[in-house]
Amino acid sequence: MVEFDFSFYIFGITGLIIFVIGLYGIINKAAFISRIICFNISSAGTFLFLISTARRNAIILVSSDGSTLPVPDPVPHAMVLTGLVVAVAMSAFALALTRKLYLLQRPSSFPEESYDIE
Amino acid sequence: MILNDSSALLAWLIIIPLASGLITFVLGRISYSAALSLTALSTIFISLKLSFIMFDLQDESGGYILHLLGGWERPVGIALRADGLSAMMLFTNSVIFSISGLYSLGSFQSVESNQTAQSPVYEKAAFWPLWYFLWSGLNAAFLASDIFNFFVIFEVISLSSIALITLSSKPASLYAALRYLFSTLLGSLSFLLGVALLYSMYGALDTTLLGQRIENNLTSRAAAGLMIAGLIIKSALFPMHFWLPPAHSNASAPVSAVLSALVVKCTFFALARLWFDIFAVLNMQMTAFLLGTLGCLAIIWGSLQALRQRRLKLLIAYSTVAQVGYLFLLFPLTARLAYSGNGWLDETWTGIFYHLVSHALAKASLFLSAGVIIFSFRTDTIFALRGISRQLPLTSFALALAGVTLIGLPPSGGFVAKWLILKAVVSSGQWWWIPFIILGGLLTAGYVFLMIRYVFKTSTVTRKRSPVSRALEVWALLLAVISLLVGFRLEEPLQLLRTGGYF
Repeated sequence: MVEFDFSFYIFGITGLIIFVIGLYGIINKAAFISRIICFNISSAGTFLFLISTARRNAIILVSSDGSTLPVPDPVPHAMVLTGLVVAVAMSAFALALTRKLYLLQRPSSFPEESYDIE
Repeated sequence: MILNDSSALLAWLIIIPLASGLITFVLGRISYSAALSLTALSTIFISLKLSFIMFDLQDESGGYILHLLGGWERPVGIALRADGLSAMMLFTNSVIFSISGLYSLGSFQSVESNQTAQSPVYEKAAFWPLWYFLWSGLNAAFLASDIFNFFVIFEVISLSSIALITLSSKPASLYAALRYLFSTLLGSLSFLLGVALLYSMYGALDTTLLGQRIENNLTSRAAAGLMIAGLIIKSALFPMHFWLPPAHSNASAPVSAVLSALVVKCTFFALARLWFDIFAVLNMQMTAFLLGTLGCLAIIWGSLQALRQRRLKLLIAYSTVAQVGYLFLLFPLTARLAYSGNGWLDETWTGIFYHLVSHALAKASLFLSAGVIIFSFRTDTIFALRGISRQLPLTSFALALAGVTLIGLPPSGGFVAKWLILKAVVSSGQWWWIPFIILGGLLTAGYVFLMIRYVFKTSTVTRKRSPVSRALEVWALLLAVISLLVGFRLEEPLQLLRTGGYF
């Protein structure tokens, strides 16, 4: 870390807060659709945090005349892109499953424990 | 230790099943048996070859093979790493997937010849690609040495395994699959945040590089906590096991077999990798003790629940919850507490992973046998098992043999594992785990005998049964026999587990 970078902390901490908000929803909401949305909120928080690390781990390029140019670290971008693909695939799959379940038995709300758990 | 000529084998272990998945997706039914035999033979051959390479490597210090994908060096590129443990896991993986694959091939043929059973064609068309993606994901998990790669691989594994559960299209299995999906998503999110924290601190994703750079501070501990929590949810350790029994008992037989035998274990494998590669510096003794305690509670709780079940598949699924508990004794037994000497570390390491392998083989055999029973009698309530030994002798024999491994009776692989673990517990001085291990063994004997008692009960009633191919029974029996045989010849597997290991 070259110098104290205020924006890293703003974006990073915001990302963590969004993550926790989503987590609260995943644990507390019973309805499947709201859980899927909360999962997306939570992963958006993680991605914001990851993007903010790109600036923190910046690579310093030195040009021939001696001037320096900080270039953001490209690895977090690649990770966020992969993470987005995974999140989209997962939400699409979860939505498809929820829809199939809804079509199989059409109650207005999903009973929580209709199968034998314990 | 880099061997350039043979390190490409690691990449082929991932590519071959992936290619088979695509081929079966495009070509459809004409390619099913060809793809299976090709994949099974080549992965078994490659993992055996890897094991032999490991035996040659064991004298040298490193004892592992590294493959840099695309030739990119590590801060940017992704590395695959195989040591003796990976080779052993890959071989187990290939054997279980090949035999369960043959079983599913046989069961689809039986369903087709049997007009009463309904099996829409699209189920079968979706089955094989997902099956191979799961196979490829598991092979990749046993080779990964990059924490972000672990995250992606876990997503591949959970997507394909959940999709495989939903293929049976019952409302119960859809509920179970959604429950599993949300739990595993929670685990993934937690794991991903841990990865992000580690990367923001140390600018590396490779486990070896992270292990060199990591310092003992609050952020590292937070990242470790998040990653361990995520992996615990995915491995179904005691308070987080709620998703496992419905998910594993509502899938079709070969799917249940690989889920219970391998999918739960691959996250434990990842946890062990991260624990010894990266988090060793943090010296987390309290966490290790907590993991051990949860493991013991899992042993007791899972076994008690298994005793209460009325359905065979639920009994076997709860038994998985219990047997996964034993694995987590790895962490307290290797944490360096205030005892001098470390003679038990090797026994802990080999014992835990021997338990993992023998349990995987036995559990796969149990689920395949349960599949045969459901296939014949359309029910798996334990009371309906009364006297099936006359009608399905091979399956009854398989259930009994796999039960022997599960309890840990002498000639089996399970006996060797439990004996090594007990020896390690005694010599490490952590005597408080002993009652849990012994009680767990007794309870395991309880539920196995409960099952066996009904199976071998003499019954005058001959119930109506659908004809079931003899091949299905043979595959289930074969896995049970292998799980027994791994207890007969110990020298080589134990040597393999030590190669490139941490102790």
